[in-house]
Amino acid sequence: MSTVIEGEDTAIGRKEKKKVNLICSRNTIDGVYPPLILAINAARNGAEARVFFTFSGIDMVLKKNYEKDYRNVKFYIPGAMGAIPGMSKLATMMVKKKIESAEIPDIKSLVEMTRFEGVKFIACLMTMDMMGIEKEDLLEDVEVMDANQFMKLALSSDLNMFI
Amino acid sequence: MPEIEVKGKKLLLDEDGFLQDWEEWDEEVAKALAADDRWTGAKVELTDEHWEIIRFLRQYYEKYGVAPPIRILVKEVKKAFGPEKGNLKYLYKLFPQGPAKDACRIAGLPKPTGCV
Repeated sequence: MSTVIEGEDTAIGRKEKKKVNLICSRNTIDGVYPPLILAINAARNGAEARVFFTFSGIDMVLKKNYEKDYRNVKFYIPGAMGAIPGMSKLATMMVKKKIESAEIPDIKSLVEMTRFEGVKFIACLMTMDMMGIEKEDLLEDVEVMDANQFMKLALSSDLNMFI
Repeated sequence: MPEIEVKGKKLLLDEDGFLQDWEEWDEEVAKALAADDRWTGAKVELTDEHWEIIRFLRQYYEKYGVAPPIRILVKEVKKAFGPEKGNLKYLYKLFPQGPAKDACRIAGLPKPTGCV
């Protein structure tokens, strides 16, 4: 028989969950890992976490990219070096190796983990219209919002981050 | 500092509900930690499948002195119990709040380092 003794206040212990929204607007390795990892940790801290995918970031919620293990997600070196042909391919390979050697999940696993941990995904309606993306092109359970809907959500939330 | 009482003994936890001293753990403690929903918002009903992973984590920690990150956990569970158990879907089904962190918490291990 065991009894739980009340400890310090935790985010979980609050009556209403805190709301955290992360915005992902890029489909690059450095554009994708931070919002997903922060969203996972927001959920683990008891928050209702969402990631809003807009512009190139919308690639992350497209079924076709998930099925192809997000091979289109690259790493680009900033500045003149990045303009050298083949440089992004080499940089992507190097960064992926570093991710693997640090035992960090690959992008597909990270997307799966994010969803398993209860983080909600939102696709930007304007981006969908602009790129001719239909609802059925999206991963299951991805919500669609326009800027006005998202802004209402953001205004009623506790933390919003554009990464 | 948060505490949990098991068999009349108060055990110290860290701010995320992990046991301060992993050697204080036994199966009764695991049951109490699984029933403690202050950190995850949900209790975990321990089945034989949960115990398999919990014991595996204890053995891993005894061998390497660290809790495995999620990528290693999946790889090692796959090696030990086969591909039907060594995958994210299976592990999240058992530990919906995150197999690496929540399973480690119930297994009485220190909080794993790293962001995921």
